[in-house]
Amino acid sequence: MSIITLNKIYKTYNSRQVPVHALKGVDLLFDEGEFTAIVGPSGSGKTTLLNILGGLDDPDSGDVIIDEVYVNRLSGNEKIKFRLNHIGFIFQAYNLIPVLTARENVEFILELQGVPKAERKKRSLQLLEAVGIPEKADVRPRQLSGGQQQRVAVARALASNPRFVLADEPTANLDSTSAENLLSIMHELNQQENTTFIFSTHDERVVKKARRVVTLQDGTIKDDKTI
Amino acid sequence: MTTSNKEYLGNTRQGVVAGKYGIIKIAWRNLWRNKRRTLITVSSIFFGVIFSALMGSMQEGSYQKMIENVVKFYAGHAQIQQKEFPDHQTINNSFVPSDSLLEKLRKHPQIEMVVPRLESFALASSGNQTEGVLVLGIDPGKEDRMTGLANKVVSGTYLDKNGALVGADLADNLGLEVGDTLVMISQGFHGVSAFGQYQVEGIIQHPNPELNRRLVYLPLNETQYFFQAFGRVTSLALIAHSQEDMDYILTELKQEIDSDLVIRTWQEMFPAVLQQIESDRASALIMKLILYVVIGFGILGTVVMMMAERRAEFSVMVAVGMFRSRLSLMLLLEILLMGLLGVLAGFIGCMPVISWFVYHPIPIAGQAGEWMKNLGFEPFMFFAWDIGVFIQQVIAVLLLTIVVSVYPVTRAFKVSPVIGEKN
Repeated sequence: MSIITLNKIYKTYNSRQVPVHALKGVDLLFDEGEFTAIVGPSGSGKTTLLNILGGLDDPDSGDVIIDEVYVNRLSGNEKIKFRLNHIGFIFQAYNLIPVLTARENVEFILELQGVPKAERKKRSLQLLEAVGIPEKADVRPRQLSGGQQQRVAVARALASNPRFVLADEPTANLDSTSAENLLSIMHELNQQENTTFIFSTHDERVVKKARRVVTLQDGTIKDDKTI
Repeated sequence: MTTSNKEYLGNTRQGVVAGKYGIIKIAWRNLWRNKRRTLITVSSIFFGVIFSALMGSMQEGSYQKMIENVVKFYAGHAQIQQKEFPDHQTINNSFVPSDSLLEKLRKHPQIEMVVPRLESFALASSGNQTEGVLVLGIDPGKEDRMTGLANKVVSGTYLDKNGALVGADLADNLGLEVGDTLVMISQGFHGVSAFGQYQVEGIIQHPNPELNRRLVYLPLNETQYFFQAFGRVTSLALIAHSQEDMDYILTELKQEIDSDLVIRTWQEMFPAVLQQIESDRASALIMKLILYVVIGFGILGTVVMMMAERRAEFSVMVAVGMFRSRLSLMLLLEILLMGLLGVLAGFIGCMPVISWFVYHPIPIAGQAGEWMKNLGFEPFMFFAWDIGVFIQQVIAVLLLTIVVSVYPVTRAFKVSPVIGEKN
């Protein structure tokens, strides 16, 4: 069953000067539990697609429908609430809050959701254990390796029990071992929890793990393969 | 958006009130991300508070001393006079205080002392020298308690029952020494001729140079006899336990005195003192304002740098579900905490200094000291413990941080959740 529908998405940057057509009428459906890679050369529109999918950016035209919610029609604060409760984000540069420990970074999402302290602590430790770094719970991001930081980012993305996780080039800054480990963790979570993962990536290792690969080129879908 | 979508938006209070302690924690930790920068900014507030508090404390100290001089040495907190006396200060506008009035004033719980005075002018001579003088009839005991007059005697003794105390410069001008006779003539009450001769019992060094040249103290009874103004006074000086006490009872006293009498506060009798204090306060306020504007720009510089450095972080916070209002609050808290630290450090720094100077005023030597002495002031820079000085700093820094916060708070409302996108 499709939980995400992208309906004729258009997006143009710099429309007043030299227009860059990032997305040109993209139609896509995503089912629950997918493990999908969005691939394509630089400038093909992968990040723009993820941003629009996650309600971070608005399309110029078209609709993003997630579980019957027209996300692009929500107000600014409604979008924030929607993202908080339904979408997990993993960023290329990890983007953890540097003044918070690993556990606090995970708890941050739960705190925004108003989850009681004891429950927050329990869940954040569970998630850090799930991503394999429970011993780093009280360590700040700068004391963690890139791979460890990205694991914390995964735990943070999963903290709110989201319907799906969007990951923008999650392995781009990782060495091969760290990338492998991270992919295994995400794959496992996808299998066990049925969490939908959608990646944008250049990384062949990620593509190999994906069960569906969507190829973008010049803002349009060139290929959409289920493996 | 379908109607069922509401449930997907979750609890409406999410992200609004949730995590308030977390935000304080993040704000506090953010302060120490760049310790050196925070310490420099806090230091600028610290020095501003110290400078401003010391300046304020010194000002208030000098004002208090000035008021104390006026109250304790000249006017009292207030004076009861005959209605016409303020405009025509002659012996004819003296009055006989009724027993009931004196009784009421003596028994009033807020009034510490009632000091009667009879003053008028006379020609004084000794040998071939003649000078116009101000004759002040006093109750020696009460006057000494109020003004510490006995301590100002530089030669001879304090007033007895029928002698005279003269200012040092007057004594010089008339060639008087202790034991000499001072002859005075004047016009007494209702135009009677007044004549008297008095033995100089003591010579005083009055802090006011004009009075030092003109003043002759006589016992009240002797003065009343000299001016043929038996039982009369030109004023009853009132000393309350405090200025607040006097302010509190003033209305009541005004209603209780006879209709031909008036009660005048020291502020009414010496408006120039009050004006001087007010104008001095205003110029000091401008100085402080300039100081805080300079500090404000320093803080703003820090805030602008901090905002630029953390742009991606703010985007992530909004992307993962933090409301922009909450982000604004966090930034406001960071600046407020910085201001609070500066104020606290400033208070801790200046309190021992002010405490020391309150009990050890700075002596003013040389010409400046002499100039102050000539004006009738003690040649010291006095400091005061005045809670208003500290409240002023708190309000100034609070306003400053709020003004500086306008920039980050408004920017936070424009933060894009797309990392790397200009806000």
